[in-house]
Amino acid sequence: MLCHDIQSQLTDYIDGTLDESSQQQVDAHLAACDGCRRYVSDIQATIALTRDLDEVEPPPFFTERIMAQVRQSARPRNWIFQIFLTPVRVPAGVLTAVCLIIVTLAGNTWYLQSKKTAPVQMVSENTSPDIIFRDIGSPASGPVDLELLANSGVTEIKTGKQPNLEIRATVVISDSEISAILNTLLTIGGHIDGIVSNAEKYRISAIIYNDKKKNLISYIRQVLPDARIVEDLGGPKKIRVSILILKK
Amino acid sequence: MKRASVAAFVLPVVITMLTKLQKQKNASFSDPDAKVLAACRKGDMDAFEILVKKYQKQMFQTAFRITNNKEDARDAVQDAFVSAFKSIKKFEGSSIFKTWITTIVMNMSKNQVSKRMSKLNRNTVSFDDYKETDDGEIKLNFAVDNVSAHQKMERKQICEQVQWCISRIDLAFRDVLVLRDIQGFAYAEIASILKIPVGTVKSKLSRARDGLKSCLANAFGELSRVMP
Repeated sequence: MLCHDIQSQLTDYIDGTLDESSQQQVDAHLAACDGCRRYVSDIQATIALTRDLDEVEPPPFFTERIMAQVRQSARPRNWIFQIFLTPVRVPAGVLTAVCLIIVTLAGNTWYLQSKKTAPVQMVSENTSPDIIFRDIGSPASGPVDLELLANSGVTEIKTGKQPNLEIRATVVISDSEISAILNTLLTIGGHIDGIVSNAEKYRISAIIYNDKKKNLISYIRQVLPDARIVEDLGGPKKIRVSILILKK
Repeated sequence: MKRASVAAFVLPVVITMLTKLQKQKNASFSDPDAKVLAACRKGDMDAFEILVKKYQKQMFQTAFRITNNKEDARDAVQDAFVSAFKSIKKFEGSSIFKTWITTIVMNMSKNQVSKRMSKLNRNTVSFDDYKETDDGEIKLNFAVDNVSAHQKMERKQICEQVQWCISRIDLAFRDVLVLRDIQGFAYAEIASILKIPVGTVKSKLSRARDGLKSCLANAFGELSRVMP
């Protein structure tokens, strides 16, 4: 028998669980092999050292601590917790169906909501074809060119929220003056998200920083002295501005 | 036809129930804690306390040898007993209570080690680190300060060194070593606790002992000098 052959039997040999004939074979090999004998002796010493380890004392009042936790875990929970924390086994198919229904309902609600908030009424009140623009201006986009906007082909605007600052005026106004108002909005860091332009009116919708409101109002008072200005006092950091100019 | 379908439905249920009863009967014959367990299943807290008192020390030893940390061992044992109490009604008696609670303690202890490892990112000795030398001997590369074999070490120091070496063994092998050489479980019991075949228990034990021997030899020199 070679050293390699007894390797697999050594655990059983050391633990005394080897059958008699195999044990005799291993004994015979060990008697003749210094290396294996030393190895077995070292393993036996290792086991002896392991078994001779001092007992580690558990912390004081360990039983009491454990029982306190056990009693706490056995205490009946508040009925609200019982409802929400009791695991319920639900078949995967049912769970999937419920998820699908929720997703469908949520999607449908969102779609209907988005339809409601669409600015359709702004278009429907017109008697002549509108030129409508959307998201046309930001400080980075530079001066507004109405002609270019008119050819951009954008056919709807997104708005519908109650403005924090509403400006109404009935004046004779040229396209260049409207451009000046739009550029002022951009200059003060505003974002123009909609314009309706037709034979009767201009309607401009924009979002500006609240702290620039005063600048805009003073500019409007210069160019449109008769404008009626309705404003929210206070308001959030960014406010919505609606400018309606009816053409005389 | 009807009878056949009724029989097909009823028969498996009856067989399952009989098997369950037989298991419980067998266990109650061999499990010294059967009577106390029966009381525990009825929710008797005092009965469960008897089991806690009986096994807490042994379970703490097991947990400490695995975790090498008293706080982790304490938490593992506490969690194990709480978990055992919660599911004691489901404990069908397919094994004795001692084996069952040891299984839970082992799992909790390993969880504690994993938690701590992920915190500290500490390196243990992997058996992939084995290197075969020219003369065919297999050695581990432990970063252990060599302690002179001639230096007479106090027993406490020896114990600490042995425990340290145990804690450096890969967790997948450490559990078998602790269950066999410290707790004295039989191969079949270890196989039942760790849910692995007996052959795997033996091979893991062999490798764990081999790794521990190398670590101790690095620390002490000749092992026969420090043998108890």
